Amino acid sequence: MKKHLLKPTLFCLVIITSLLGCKREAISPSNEFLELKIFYNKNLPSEQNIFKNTKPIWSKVEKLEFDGSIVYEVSMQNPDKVGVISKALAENDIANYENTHALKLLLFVDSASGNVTKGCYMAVEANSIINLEKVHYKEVSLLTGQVVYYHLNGMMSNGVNYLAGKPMYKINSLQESALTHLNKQNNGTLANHSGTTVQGCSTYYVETGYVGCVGAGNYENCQWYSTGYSSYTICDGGNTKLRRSDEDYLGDGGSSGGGSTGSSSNSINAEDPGYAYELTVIADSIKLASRFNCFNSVPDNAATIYKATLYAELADKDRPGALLSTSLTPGHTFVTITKTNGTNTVSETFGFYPKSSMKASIQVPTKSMMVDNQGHDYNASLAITINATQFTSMINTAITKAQRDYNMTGYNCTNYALDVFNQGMSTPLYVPSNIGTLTGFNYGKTPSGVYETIKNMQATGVAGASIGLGKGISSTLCN
Amino acid sequence: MKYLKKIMVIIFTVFVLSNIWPFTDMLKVTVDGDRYYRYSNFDGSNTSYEFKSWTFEMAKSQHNDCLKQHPNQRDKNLYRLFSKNPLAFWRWRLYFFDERYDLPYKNWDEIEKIRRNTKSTMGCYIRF
Repeated sequence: MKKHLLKPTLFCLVIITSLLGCKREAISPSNEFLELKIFYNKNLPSEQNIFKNTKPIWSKVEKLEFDGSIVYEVSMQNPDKVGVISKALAENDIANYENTHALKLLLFVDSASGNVTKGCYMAVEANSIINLEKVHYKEVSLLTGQVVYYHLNGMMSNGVNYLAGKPMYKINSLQESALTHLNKQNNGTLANHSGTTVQGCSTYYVETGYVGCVGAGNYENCQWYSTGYSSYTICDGGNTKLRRSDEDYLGDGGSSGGGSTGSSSNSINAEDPGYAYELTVIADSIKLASRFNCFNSVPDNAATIYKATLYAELADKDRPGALLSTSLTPGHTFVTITKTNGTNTVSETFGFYPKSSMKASIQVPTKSMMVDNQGHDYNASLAITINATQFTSMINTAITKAQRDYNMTGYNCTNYALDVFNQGMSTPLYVPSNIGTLTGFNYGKTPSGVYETIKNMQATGVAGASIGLGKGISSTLCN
Repeated sequence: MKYLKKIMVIIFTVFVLSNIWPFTDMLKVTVDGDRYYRYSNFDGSNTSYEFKSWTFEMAKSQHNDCLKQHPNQRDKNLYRLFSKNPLAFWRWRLYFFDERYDLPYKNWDEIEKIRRNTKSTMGCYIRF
């Protein structure tokens, strides 16, 4: 009889195991490379930057040590195939692009202070297929081809042409005026990338650009789009032999080195709310800080108006005291901070979430994450005007508290939102904890508690307190 | 034979219970995990998912807001990006009676291919 049972039992076990195994990957938190991530996030590429769609792969980082400095080489996701070419790309070359081209992010750390001093992009082109994983900053293995460096703002810096791993010629950026002149000389094209010979010296051109595709599937048509040129010159009598230092990234005079947060580096595009951000683990506070940099684009002066809004969304709008809806979804409390000067307004709407709903729902502390809450429904809101000091304090609190773990009854979205919002209150907003009527269990601060508090404030005529359906203010994207 | 019957009864009970509230929702949290229910318009310029307080209602409302801002989209459907899996027995009831499954299905890879050249625009949010 037992043999009869074996098969169905095994079948059930296999089915259940495979179904449970279908759960998607857990994102493992990592504090590694925190300084590098902060630096990179302070220098995120703008919409105009050719590297705007690239992303560092923080799981693929190489550490290189040189005299007095450490260089971290981060592999990049490069969906647009941004890079350099020294000859026109045929269809086949585009298909093989990844075998001959690589893009990396270099971050330079001063080994004495541990500070990140500067960063750049490194584009590699190999003339033949080689293992590009072995090509590193100033250690290019047997590369025959080009390495070109770009400042973090996307401008070309310098580069080196290599022959079997030996640095041969320096690559310099070509000014637009020189390019126009050359175009005229070459009947409007630099497609052969070589040619101009002056007094025994020939100039060769390296194009910067990306691969753009139109259509889809079998009908996809891809081609190279140039965004700039650089060149190197070979003279008959031989060029001066390059030194080790000639292979260095020359830097950009500091414009990308300090992680400038000034208004000049931030361009607001109010017409484009951009990608809603979902932030993870420790990166939360970094990305949040990066988003808050957008506020720097609004000048601080007597005309600047600072505002904050606290929102509460009920789990079940028909039962304001309920902790969960009938489909077991909870309510939510979140915040908007706004800075306005004249017609220039920047807003950030954000909320605190658990990384794992399952852990949160069974009262296990879990890693937290911040989510852009623009467009999120709410049932009650409380808007206040604050001063510059309170505004700064709110921002600092938001960044600091974003690093806390999420605990459904200990530190949840409501605790976070109140911590941030109360920085703008002369008397902190009091929200009673939700105590189970039957169980007597203390569920901590809840969105329904915030809702009741705002409702009472509205009833007593407090300005800015409002009950009613609405949606969280759009967050402003800036680069 | 008696044991086999017992096992069949247990399996049947599990299948039935898993399709009844609140077990379906509990399984949704525990087995389906976060952000299983994902939605998109035809070109991926408006995407949303269900996660904690982000509900299906909000996904629909976000889609409607996007359509209001951009009424000339050539395809006005909201697509579900999750398919019907016959092995997921706790969702059998949902496949027939849940509004989510009334939405047309589209493979995310198809949409993502088109999205490469799509820019995020006012009123539409790209959440993934």
